[in-house]
Amino acid sequence: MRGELKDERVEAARRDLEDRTLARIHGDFARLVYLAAMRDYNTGEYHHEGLSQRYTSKSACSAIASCHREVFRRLISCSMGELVEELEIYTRSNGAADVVSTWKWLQPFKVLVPLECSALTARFFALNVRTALEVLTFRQRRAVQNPLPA
Amino acid sequence: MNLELYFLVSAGALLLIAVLLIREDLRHRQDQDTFRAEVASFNSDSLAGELSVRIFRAEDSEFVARETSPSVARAFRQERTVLAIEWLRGVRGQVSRLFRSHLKTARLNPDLSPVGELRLGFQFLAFQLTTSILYAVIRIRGPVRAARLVLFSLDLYEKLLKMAKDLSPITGTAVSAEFLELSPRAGNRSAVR
Repeated sequence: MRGELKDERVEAARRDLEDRTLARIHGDFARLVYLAAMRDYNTGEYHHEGLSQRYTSKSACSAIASCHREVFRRLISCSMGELVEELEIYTRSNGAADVVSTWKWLQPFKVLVPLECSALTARFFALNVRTALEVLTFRQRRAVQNPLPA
Repeated sequence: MNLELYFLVSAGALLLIAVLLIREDLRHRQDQDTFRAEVASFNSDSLAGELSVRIFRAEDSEFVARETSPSVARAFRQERTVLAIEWLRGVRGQVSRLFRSHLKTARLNPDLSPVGELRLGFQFLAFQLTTSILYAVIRIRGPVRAARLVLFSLDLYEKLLKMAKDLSPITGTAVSAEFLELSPRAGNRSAVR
């Protein structure tokens, strides 16, 4: 597995990333987006300036990869209901008005999977997120049709 | 006398099927390094175990049916069926490869137990038969309805691995490592039911 260094520096970098950064991000879906965004699309390696300076770039890369796998595993294991909740937290915290429709159109969730996961797992994740977006769209439509009394 | 003859003929027929299944690969000898590389590649996706729990769970389909339009719910069920079939193909392929690898190492085993190997062969055929039925159930009735049979197949798989481990420590260890990734964790098994 790429950059899998199980030494103390990696563990320290991992703890650092979890405590200082990931703990402040609300929801696993938002954490997944954040972690995947640190990956270079061409090389598949992760970059984080601060972590690389404190530890080494290799240790930082392994620590981020490890966190990415862990967050992805949690999202794969959760039910559709839980995933919809996660996605709802992400869309609310994002602030943009058309997050759901933009995500349905661009399908950026396809690049959120860790490098090591199989095609089957990636398709499973994509199906779940796509369906979760449909659930959110359905709820939005329902809310427009049946607005709550003031 | 007739009963004994019946068992003998049945055993012979099953043995013949087993021989036919593995004949193709017995032509090509593989060394231990290739075998280990194969097993390592099986383990590369550590999420296979999570998938076996989630794909067959009724809760997701019920939630989607409740929370979306019928067309989205139908598409979700269909795609889950396709994924379940692919998952099953993957598991069958892994078991077949590992069984063939076991046969290769067994041939070099000086303490070979013919009775044990025969029992393992029967167990392998039972697994293949069960998963063939499972394949048909998934196709016809969808993955949610097949959940119980999945558990039964995984129990058979567990027995198969235990027997393989008893018969050949090298293969058994490798297969057990693979099984840990494939099998839903004990706590999750009840969730599939």
